[in-house]
Amino acid sequence: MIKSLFSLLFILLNGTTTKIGINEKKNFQIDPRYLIARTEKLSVNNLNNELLNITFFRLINDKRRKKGLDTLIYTIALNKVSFKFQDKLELRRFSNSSSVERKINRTLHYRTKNEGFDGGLVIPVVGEFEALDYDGKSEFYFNREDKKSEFKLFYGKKPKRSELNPTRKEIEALDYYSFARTILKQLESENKKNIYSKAFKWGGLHLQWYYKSLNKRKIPQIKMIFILGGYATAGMR
Amino acid sequence: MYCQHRYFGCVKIIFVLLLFFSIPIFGQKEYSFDEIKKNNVRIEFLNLSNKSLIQIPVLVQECKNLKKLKLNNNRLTFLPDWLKNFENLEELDISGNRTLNINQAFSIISKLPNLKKLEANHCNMFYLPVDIRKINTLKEVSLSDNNIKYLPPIFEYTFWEKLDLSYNCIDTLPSTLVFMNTLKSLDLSYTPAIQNKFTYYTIEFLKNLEILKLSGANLLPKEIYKIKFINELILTHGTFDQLPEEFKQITNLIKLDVRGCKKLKISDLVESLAGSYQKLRQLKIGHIDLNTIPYNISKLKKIKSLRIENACLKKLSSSIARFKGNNISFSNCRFPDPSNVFKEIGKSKKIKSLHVNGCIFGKSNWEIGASEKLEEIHLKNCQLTYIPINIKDFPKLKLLNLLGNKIPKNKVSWKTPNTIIGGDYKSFYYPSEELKSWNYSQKQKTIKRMIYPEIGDFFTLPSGAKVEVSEQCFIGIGNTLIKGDVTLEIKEIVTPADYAFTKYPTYLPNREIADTKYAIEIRAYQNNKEVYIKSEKPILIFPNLTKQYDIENYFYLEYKSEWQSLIQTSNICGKKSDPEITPNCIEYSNIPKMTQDLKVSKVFVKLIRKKKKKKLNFEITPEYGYRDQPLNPFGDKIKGYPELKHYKGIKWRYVGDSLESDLRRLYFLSDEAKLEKLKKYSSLKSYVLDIKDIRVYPNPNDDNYLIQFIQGRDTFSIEALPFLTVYKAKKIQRWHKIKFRKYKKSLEKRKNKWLRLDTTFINRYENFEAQLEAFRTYNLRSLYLVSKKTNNHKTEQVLKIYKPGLYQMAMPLLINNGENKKPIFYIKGRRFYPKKILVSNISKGYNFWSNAKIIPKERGIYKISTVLNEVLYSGIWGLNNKVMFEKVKFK
Repeated sequence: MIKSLFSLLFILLNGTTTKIGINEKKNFQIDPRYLIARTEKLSVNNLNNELLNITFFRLINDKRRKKGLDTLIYTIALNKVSFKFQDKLELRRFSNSSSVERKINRTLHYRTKNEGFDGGLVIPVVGEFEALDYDGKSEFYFNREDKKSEFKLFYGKKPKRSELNPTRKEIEALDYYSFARTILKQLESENKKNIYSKAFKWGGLHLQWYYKSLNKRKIPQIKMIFILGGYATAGMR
Repeated sequence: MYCQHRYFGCVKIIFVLLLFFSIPIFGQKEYSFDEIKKNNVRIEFLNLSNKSLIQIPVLVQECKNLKKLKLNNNRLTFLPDWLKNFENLEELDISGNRTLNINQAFSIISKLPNLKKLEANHCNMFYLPVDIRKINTLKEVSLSDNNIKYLPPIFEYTFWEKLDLSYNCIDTLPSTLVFMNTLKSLDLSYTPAIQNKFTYYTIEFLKNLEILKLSGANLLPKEIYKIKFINELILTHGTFDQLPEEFKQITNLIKLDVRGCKKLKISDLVESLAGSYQKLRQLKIGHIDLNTIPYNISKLKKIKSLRIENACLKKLSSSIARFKGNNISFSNCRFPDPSNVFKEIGKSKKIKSLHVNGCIFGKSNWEIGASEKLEEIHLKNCQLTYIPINIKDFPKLKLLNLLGNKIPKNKVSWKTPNTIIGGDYKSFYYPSEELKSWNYSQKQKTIKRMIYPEIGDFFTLPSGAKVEVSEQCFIGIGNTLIKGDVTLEIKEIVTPADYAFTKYPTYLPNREIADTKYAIEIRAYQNNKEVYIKSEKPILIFPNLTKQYDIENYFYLEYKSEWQSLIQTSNICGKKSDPEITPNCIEYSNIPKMTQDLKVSKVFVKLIRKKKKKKLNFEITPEYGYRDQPLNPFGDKIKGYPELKHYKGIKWRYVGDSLESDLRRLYFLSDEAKLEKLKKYSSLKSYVLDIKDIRVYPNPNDDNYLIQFIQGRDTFSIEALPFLTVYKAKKIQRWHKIKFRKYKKSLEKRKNKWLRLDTTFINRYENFEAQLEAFRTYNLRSLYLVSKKTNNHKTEQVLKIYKPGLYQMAMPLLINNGENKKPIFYIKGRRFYPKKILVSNISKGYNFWSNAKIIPKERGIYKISTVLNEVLYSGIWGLNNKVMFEKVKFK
C-alpha cells in the first residue's frame, strides 16, 4: 500500500513539474531577458548570443502571428547547424549562383538530417547587418585614445591637434531589440518571403560578430544564419 | 518457522497448480451416446464414431457445453440445422461419411463461431465448398482422401495453420494459397502436385511453413530448392532414385524423414544433404532392403539422433564409431546376425543412448559391445529372454529399460545401473524325476496327404501353416531314391485339446517349461514303409503366426525322451508387403470446371546503382489484374494499380540504410535480381511476383514516402523520396499534394473495383458448386485403391524338417509376477486328484503340462484340462481357487 502511495505521489509531483515547464514557454513575453534586450547594448567582448537569437526569433514569430500564420518552432538541431555554418558560410558573388545554392541546400539537408531533424525542406536565410546606430551617410572616424566608449567610433572628421576641446558625437551601439528590428527591416524581399511562408514549420538561427568587419575603419557587423525547416510532403499530411 | 511456512506455501502452490491443470484433463473426458442423458450439461467431448448413424440423434442437442464432437465413420447424409447452436464447439470430425451432402454440411459448419479444428477425411468431397472461408477461427483443416482436384480461390480470407491435402488429385495448387502464409504445416502426400514445379513456386511464399510432407513422391523436381527455409521435410515411401542436385541448396533442414524410400541410396542422400550438414539434427531412414548404415554418415556434423526403421541390418560399417550423434534408435528392424551390429555400436565414441524397439534377432547369443559412453539402453518389446549386456563393460550406464521383454527377475542382479525398468518375470523348471516318468503318446487324428515326389508339393494345413515339399526329396533305406506316391502323415498341435490328447512334452532341453508357438509331427510312408528325407532338400514349414517371435526349433528324440535343439538359421529378412497406394486421377476429365480468371500481379523493379556515392536508386512499374491464363512473368503486360500511374516514370531515391537487405526480403522471381550482379553492373531489371497490393503514403516519422509492398500477409515497406527538378519549397509541397490527392482518389476507385470483382467471382463459384455436387453424386466412389500384394511365402519363421518326427518351435516360458498356487479340483461335484494337468493361459496363448499340486500362475483366467479314459475334461481357474471339470464336446 505504502509503495503504491509513494508511486502515486511521485507521478503527481512529476506532473506538476512538467506543467511548470509548459507555462514557462507560454509566458515567453514576460521573460526577464526580454526586458534586458531593450536596455542592454551590443558589445564585442561580451555578446549574449542566446539573447540575441531569442529576441530575433520572437520578433519573427510576432510578425507571423500578425499575418495569420503559424509560429515557427525553435529547434535545437537547426540551431546547431547554423552555429557550425557561421565560420564556413560567407556571402560572395558567384557566376553560377543556382548550382551553388543547390549544393548548399544539399549539404544543409545532410547536416540537419545528421543532427536529427526530420524535415526534408531546409532553406538558409543569411545576412550581415551593421550593429551600430549609424545613419549610413555621414563621415566617421576611429579615435584610439578615447577610453569611455567600446567601439571608439565618432561622427565627423578626425580633430586636428590644434583644435581645442574637440566635441564629436559618438556612434552608439544598438540595443538587442532595436538591432533585431533593423535586421527585419533590412532583409531581402526573397528572404522575407521565405520567412513569412506557410511551407516552413521550424526555425533555428545563430548570430555572431562578423570577424572581417571588426576593422577599425569599418562599422562592425553581425552575421545571421537563419535556417528554416519544413516537410516536403506537408501537403499530403 | 519461516522455513516451514515457505515449505507449506510451496506445497500449496504446487497443489493449486496441480488442481488447475487437472481440471481440463478431467473436463475432456470422453463420453459415448449412452451417457448423454445422465451428463448432458457436463459433456465436453462426445464420441459418436463407428455407430453407423444415418442422422445425428436429437438428444445430442442437449449437450450445450460441447467442445469436441466426433462423428466419423457413420452414414450421415445431412447435418441437422441445430448443430450451429453449439457455440463452444472447437473440434469437429466428420471423416468417413462418404454419402454426406457436402454443400449442405459446410453451410452449417460455417456458422459455428468457435471452430478451430475440422477433420473431413474420406468424405468423397470432390470439391471444397467456399463456405469454409467464413469460419474465422479455423486453424487446422484436414481433407485427406477426398478426390479433390481443384481448390477454390478462398485462401486470401483464411488464416489456417495446418492443412492436410494428402491422397487427393490436386495437381496444381491455387495461386491464392500464397496469401495464407500463416500456414505452419502442409501435407501434400500422394498427390500429383509433388511433381509439379509450380507447387514449389507457391510454397516459397509460405514463409512460416515449418513442416512439409511429400510422402509417396515418384519424382522431386529441381525447383525444390525454393523451399530453403523449411525445417522439417517428410519424404517417406518415395519411389525416386535420387534427390535432385538442387537439394543441396536447402540449408535450413533440421529434421528429415526418408523412411520407406527403397530406391534411394542412403550414402547418396547424405551427399545431397551437403547444404544442411551444419543444421540437420534428426534423420530417419530405413526400408526393407537397407543392409547397412553408409560410411559417410559421419559427415553430418550437428546430428543428434538417427532413427532406423523396418531395415534388415546384417552389419554396420566401422564408420559408426565416428558418428557424431548422441542417440541411435532401431525400431521394427531385423538383425540376422545381431552381434555384428551391436559390437560396432559399442565402439562408438559419441553415442550415449541406444533404443531398440520391436526388433527381431536371428540369433539368440548376441551382446552389445563394451562401451564407455553409453548412458541409456532401451530394449523394448524385443521378446528377449536374457540381458544382452555384460554390466562390467558399461561404467557410465544409468538406465536400462527392458519393458516388453520376458527377462526373469533373478537374472537382473547387479547394482551399478541406477534404474532398471522391466525384468519382472519368473522362469520355471520341471524337476528331473518328473521328466523321467514322462509318457508321450500321440492319440490324435492325422492329416494324410498323397505326394508325388518327382514334382513336389505346396499346400496349406488346417491351422494355416504352409508346407513346401521339394521334388525328389524322399529317400529310402540305403539312400535309394523314392519314386511313386508317398503319403505324408501330419499331426499338428495347436489348440489346447491337441496338447491334452497327446500328452505333449512341453519342456526344453534345459528342463525349462516351453512356451510352444507351433508343434508338428510329420512322417512319410510308401507302401506302409517309412521313408526318410534328403538332407539337401528339407521339407519347409511356414507356420501361421500372428506375431514375430524370437523362436528356436527343437526336435524330440524318442529313444531318449528328450528334446534336441536344432540350429536352423531362419531368413528373418524376408520381404514384407507394404500396402501400395496407386492414385487414379484419370477419371477427372469430366469434372465441371469454371473458367476462372486468375488474379495475378507483377512488379517490375529497375535498380540503378551510383558507384561514387554507394547509393541505390530504383524505379517501380507495378502491374496487376485478372487473367484467363497463367502469367508469363517476363513478357506479359497487365493493366493494374491505375492509381500508381501518377508516380510512374519518376525515379525514387532510397532513403533507408540497407536497401540490399530490404530488397532481399522481397521475393524476386527473376534470377537477374541477385544482388551479387548489382556489384558488377550499374543497373538491373527484376520482377517481383504476386504482390497483393502496393500502397504509398507519407512516413509519419520522417519527411518521405513509405512504399508498402503487401505480399500475402507480409508487408514490407521501403522509405523513399521521388526525385524532383523543382527547388522552391512551395512548389515542391504543391507537387506532392496534388500527386497524392490524385493517387488517393484513384486508389479508392481501384479498391472498389477489385472488391466487386472478388465478390462476383466468389458468388459465381458458389453457384457453380451445385454443378460440382451433382458431379459428386454421380461419381461417389473411391479413386484410390489400397492393394495388398499377396505373398506366397511367409519367410519370417521357418521350420526345416530333415528327418521324420516331432518338432516344436518354442522359447522358454517366463511368467510375469508368477506365484505358485494349489487349485482344488472337482468332477461332478466331487473332489478329484489328478496327477498331471494341462494348464493353458487363454489370453496369452501358452500351454504346459504341470504337476496338479503346484502350478505357477500369473494374472488372468486359465483353462485346465486333463484326459481320463480318453475323454477330455476341462475347467476354468482364476475367478476363485476351484476348478470344476466338465466333459468337452467336440463339434
